[in-house]
Amino acid sequence: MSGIHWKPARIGFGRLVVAVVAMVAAHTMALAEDSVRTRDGGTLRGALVSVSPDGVDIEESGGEIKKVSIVELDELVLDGEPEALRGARGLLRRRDAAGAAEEITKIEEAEIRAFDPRIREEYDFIRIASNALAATNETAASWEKQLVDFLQKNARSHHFYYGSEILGDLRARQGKFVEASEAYRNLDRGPPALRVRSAAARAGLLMRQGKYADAIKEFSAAEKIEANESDAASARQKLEAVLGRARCLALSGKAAEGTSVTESVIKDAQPEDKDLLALAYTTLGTCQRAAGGKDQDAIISFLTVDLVFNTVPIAHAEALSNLVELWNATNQPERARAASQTLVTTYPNSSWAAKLSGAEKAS
Amino acid sequence: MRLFIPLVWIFSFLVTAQLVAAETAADTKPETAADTATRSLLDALEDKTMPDVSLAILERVVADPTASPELKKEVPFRRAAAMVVLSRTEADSKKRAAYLDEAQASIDAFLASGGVSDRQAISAYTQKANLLIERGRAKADQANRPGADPAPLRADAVKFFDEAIKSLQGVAKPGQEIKEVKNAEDAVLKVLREVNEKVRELEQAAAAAQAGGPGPNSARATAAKTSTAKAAAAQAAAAEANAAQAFAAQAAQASQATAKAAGPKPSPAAAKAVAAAVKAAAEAAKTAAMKVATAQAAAAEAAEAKKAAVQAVAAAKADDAGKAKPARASAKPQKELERLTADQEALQGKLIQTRLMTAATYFEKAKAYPAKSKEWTDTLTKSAALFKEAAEKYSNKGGGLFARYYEGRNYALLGQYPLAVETLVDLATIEDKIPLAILIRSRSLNTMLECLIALKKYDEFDESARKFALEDIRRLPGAQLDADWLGLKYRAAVILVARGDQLDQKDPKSNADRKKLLSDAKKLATEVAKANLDFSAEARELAAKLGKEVEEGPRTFAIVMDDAKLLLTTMQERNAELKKAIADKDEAKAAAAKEAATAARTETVAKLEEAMKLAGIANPLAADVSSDDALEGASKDEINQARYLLTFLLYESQRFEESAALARLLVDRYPNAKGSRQAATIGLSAWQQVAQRAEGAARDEARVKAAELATTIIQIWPDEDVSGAATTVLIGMAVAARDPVAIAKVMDQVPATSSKRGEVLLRAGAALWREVQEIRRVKDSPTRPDDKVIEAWKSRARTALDEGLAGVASGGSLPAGPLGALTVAGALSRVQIAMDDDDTAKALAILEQPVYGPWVLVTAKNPVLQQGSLPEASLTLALRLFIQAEKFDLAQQAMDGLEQLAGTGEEASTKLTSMYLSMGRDLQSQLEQLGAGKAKDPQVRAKAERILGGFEKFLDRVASRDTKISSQFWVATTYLTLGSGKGTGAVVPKDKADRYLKRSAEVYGNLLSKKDDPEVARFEPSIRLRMANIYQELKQWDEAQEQLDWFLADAKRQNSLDTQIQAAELLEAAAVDAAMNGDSEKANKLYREASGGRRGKPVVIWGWNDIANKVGRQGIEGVDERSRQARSTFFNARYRSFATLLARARLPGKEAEKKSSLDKADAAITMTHNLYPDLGGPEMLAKFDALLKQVQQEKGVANPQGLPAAKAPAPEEEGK
Repeated sequence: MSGIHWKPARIGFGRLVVAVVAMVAAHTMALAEDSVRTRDGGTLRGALVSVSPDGVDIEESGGEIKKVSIVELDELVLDGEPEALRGARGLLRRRDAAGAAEEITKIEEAEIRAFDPRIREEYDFIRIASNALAATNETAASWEKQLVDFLQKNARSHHFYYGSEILGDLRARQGKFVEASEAYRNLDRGPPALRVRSAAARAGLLMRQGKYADAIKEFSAAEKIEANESDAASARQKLEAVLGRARCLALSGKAAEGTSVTESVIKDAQPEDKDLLALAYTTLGTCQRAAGGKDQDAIISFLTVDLVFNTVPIAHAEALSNLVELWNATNQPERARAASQTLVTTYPNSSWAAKLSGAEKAS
Repeated sequence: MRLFIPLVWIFSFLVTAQLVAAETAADTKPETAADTATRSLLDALEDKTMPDVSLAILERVVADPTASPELKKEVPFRRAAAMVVLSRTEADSKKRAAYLDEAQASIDAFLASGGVSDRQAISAYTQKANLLIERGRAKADQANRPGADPAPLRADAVKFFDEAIKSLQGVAKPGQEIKEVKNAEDAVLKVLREVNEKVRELEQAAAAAQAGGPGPNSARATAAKTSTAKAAAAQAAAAEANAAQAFAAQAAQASQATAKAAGPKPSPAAAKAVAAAVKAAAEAAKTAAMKVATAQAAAAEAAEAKKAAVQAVAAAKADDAGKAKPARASAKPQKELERLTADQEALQGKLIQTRLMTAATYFEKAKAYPAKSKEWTDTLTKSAALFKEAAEKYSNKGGGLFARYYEGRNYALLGQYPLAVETLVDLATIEDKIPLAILIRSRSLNTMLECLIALKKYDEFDESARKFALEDIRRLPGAQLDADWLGLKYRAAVILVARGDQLDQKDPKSNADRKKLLSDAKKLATEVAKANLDFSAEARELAAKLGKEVEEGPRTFAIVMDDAKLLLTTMQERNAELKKAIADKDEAKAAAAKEAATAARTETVAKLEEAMKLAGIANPLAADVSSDDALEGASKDEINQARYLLTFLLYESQRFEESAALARLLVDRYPNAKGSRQAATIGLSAWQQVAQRAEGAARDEARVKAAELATTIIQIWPDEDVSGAATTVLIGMAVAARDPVAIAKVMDQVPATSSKRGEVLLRAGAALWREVQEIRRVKDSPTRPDDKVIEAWKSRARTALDEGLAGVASGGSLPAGPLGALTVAGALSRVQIAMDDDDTAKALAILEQPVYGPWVLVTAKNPVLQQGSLPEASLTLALRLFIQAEKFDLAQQAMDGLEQLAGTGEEASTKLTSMYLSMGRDLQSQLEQLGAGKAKDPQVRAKAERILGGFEKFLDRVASRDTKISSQFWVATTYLTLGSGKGTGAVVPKDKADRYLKRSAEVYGNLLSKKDDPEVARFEPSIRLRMANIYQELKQWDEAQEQLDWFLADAKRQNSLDTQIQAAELLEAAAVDAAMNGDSEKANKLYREASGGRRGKPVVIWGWNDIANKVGRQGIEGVDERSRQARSTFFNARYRSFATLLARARLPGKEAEKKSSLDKADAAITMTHNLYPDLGGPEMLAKFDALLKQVQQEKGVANPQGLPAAKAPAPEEEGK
């Protein structure tokens, strides 16, 4: 599943912990200050009073309690958290899972146990999530288990949905499609944007299995999930579902239709929505390749991802993988080698790097 | 000389981006994501040097109806920029020029298109100037190459530079209104004035609002003050960033220019300069980026402050009015002011850049003149004056600093050392430690020291400068040991030594000072020597003089490559000498030059191999991946350049296989490297050379390799010349192999846009048609393709020839040389195809086509048709076609042409006869082909009738009117051809054939009656043999025998095997005829004579037995072609002899001799089989077997078995 818009924020709590936090916050308000960054660029500072999978409540210095829903929440920074934890979260936000996993090792586990339980929970999540995202075939099962444990123990964490999605992705990578689907279904408990995301993720599983007709139905269903007109987050998620449908159309022999659908998404996209555009141009390139005889168009689409919208690792890796093939096909071996090098050095654990490695061995 | 142009290049791209940004900002319509993505991608591609992709994108933008007009507007600039980048990777100078032409045309068309905004004009004129400068520099470089004729090249260069200056330099005077924009500077000025005016209006409005308030407002005053301060800081930061960018650009340009200057024959120093310049560019870019970031931050802060100030003004105004309007009420004018201010700054920067570019272009132009010439001095002086003007005008800006530096540099170059020192002294003494200051100081000081040495003013090298020179540059931010630093350090050392030499060694204090000076000098010289780059040799010498031997630095790829390139230059010079010596016919000089060139080549190869090893590539031919990754101290481009040079030199050294292998590596792994295309062509030639020199499997392998390489080349560069060469190789191989499938495949492969397509199609079409004709002649062969396949090939040949000929026709004239000959050959093939199609009109149209028509060319005596077999082929085909079309006058002209072509003298008649025979064979083949098809088809018959009708009429006409011997020969020969062709029987009725034969015999007879004519006398034997044939065909045995007897009565001719065979055949044919007529006695006698010969004097006929005996030994023992023919004759004669025995046994009334004849035949066949089991091959074996069975049958054998082993020949024998 691509186009993750989760930005790991802060830990989740059980009811008891929340109460404790609220009390502590009330008493230490003058000394401690948490902060919540929202997706529109705003920052709220104060004391957390409530945390749940659906969002957080924060009491500002004036005593006013502000609610931030999970789809609006960009980052939650806890007062007193170690610098390395913040750094690891930053790397994870930039989708550098391997970097985050490495950064978090700078924190002594014994040391973190002495911290506030909220910080310990945040530490656990970032450590497990980053390692799960960067997991290899050998380590995937171990991190899957740790992630399941975390979600069970922290069912009220605001990371719950994000964690569930990571779990679904991890299982999907291992070919455990039924289990992956179950994990994605956790998102159905959330607001409409997450329900769209859940449905699209499950459609993606069908696509991975080559069940394009079924996948198209699922993507279409995701597009039709009811949401308010003002719900921009849902509308945004639906565009990803549209792209999923376009890809399935291309892969099932309807490349022209897929191209047309993708172009309509690009036409209506906001120029600053780089994540969506990364997915859109990757999909467009896929449609163009599926159409046959459009290698030059496909190169341009994948280059757009490589050189302009390269912030979504999975899309970037896919674009690079395609570029390796396309450059070779168009007699540009030096460019193919450069793309190959970028792929294996930037995304060594990606399926696209593995595919490339497999292809090289086979040849 | 340091080069300035990079300034131009980099600025041009920055300016384009700025322009776009400004225009986008001015446009209220938001840009779509697709447009933004496309623009960002194009920007990124410029950095990535992928001009091909950029061009593909721009094509799509043009064709895309959804692309915004703004984006479409950018296409010409982007396209021009891409073409320029493309030109830099192109090794072929013609193509490079073509790219630049196209880029320039793109911009010119844009400028001429109308509706060009002033902002667009800024970019367009700047880009145009860049192009012209690039071209001027290329010409100036060419002028400096050995062997070049510099005067015209320099004149061209000057023209380009003048045009560039025209595109850059403004013509409007200060304060003068600019009505029409014709250059970049005026365009900038015009736009800047407009922006200035708008800014003034908005500021006045804000000031008026402020003045209109009830009194001082502290918040407003504070905001305004802060705004002013921040704006000043931002301006300062921007100036610094400007300067840094300029320097970065300059360094980058210097790197490019130095690399370019290194060219095909770079000196070691030049190569080192390239490396140094690249480093400097990188560092300067880093510094510039830093400065730009700082400036941007400052600008943002200033904008914030300004915003606050404007808001304060608005709020105060609102307060004053007693209305608490929200601050956002003033957002629109405030935002507009911000935008305009930023735009204003950008335009001011652009104005400075444009003026500096103009000055720099004069500097470049100076290089197009011989150094120290009046023009050189004047131009450099003009450049200095412009730099001076800019330096004074922008003394507080980064651009002004650079202008000052360049001004000083120009003075130094002009030899105006005191003025140079005076100009540079301030810059050379900057004490600041920021990278930009260090950079400008090092360069200024270097130039200044050069001047001080020239002026011998060593004392002006003060303590501060000495300290700066001695700095460990690793500790200086942003500094690199580049050419300027090396120059500075070396020159500082020289000055220190000079100062030391002035001190009194006897005075202890002076001596101590001297020692200190020399110690510093030694330190500096050693540092420079160790760097092994610029000034290393001089520094090494100086250090040695100062008492310390400086060891040579380690040998690196770059150093050895420098050596190799130097040797290459030597080789080229020797080759030029060789060429001249050959032209002068000075053998001794030529031999010496050749030897020297060979030695230089061998040494260059060795150096290149050494360089590759130093880069970690043990085997230059190895195509392993590790060789890519193991590069030590060398870029892939440099390695590939070495590979290309090696490919060329190995070929020159006749190490063809190595050369080809290296070419293959470049083609496969680095097709886009400079020189790979040329290497590919060399590789093709190399494999061809190997194929020519090798035999057997090695030759086949070389051909396969050549074909593989050619195929790859076509795949990689379908539209380029190299692909044309590859296709030519492929078609040549397919034609030589006489492989119609391969020929057709090459036709499929040749790209539609290939420059060689026409040539390949003509060659392929003609070859394919030739193969079709050949294959048609082969009957009953198991390998003969299906008729449909053959017809498909014919169709392909027709299409290919039509396209090839159309290409020539559109060119308007016949190409000279081999291509012209190929065209005529193609046209002749096409005429034949049209005749084969019974499309006489088409055939005539091609024959008489004005550009390539063979008839037109041959009658006009076109030089292409003055040699080889083309004139003859053209005239004989024309003759045949004109006769067929009943254009008898033209046919007569063709005959006259053939006679002229045959010339005069002894050989003429033979030649003419040969030509007529050739035409007759073609005619016969045409009729046979008709007969082989649907002979009974009315259309086929009608066609045959038309052909024959035309010939009959014409031959009769010639026979009656033209009494020339040659004409009579032709008539007789053609009648013979028409009447005697065995395959023509289907379309030439027997009675008509007999009539033709009689007519032929008649004409020949007439000729024999003119035996006094020496020409006839010379051909009498030939005529009589032909007459014998005719009479044989007509079953006029006695007449036939009479002709043969005449021939065989001559003892000299009795040993003619062909005539003896003809005589035996005649006797046998006469016997068959006698038997059929019931005359057994006569038949028996004739059979016996056919077999055993006739010994009457003076005529001696050998008969089949003696014929076999005569050729037996050679046929059985020999292995060559003649022996194979003798072997065939031997077995055929035996067979015919045994067949006469059977024929005699079957004659009515000869029963008494029957058994004896059959036993003889049985025994003879069996014995022959025992002696020669294969009996000459499967075909003859089968015939002998069938003959024996008939003999056995005649003998009454119930179940004739034939030959014992005839039924199942050993498998290995079958193929023999």
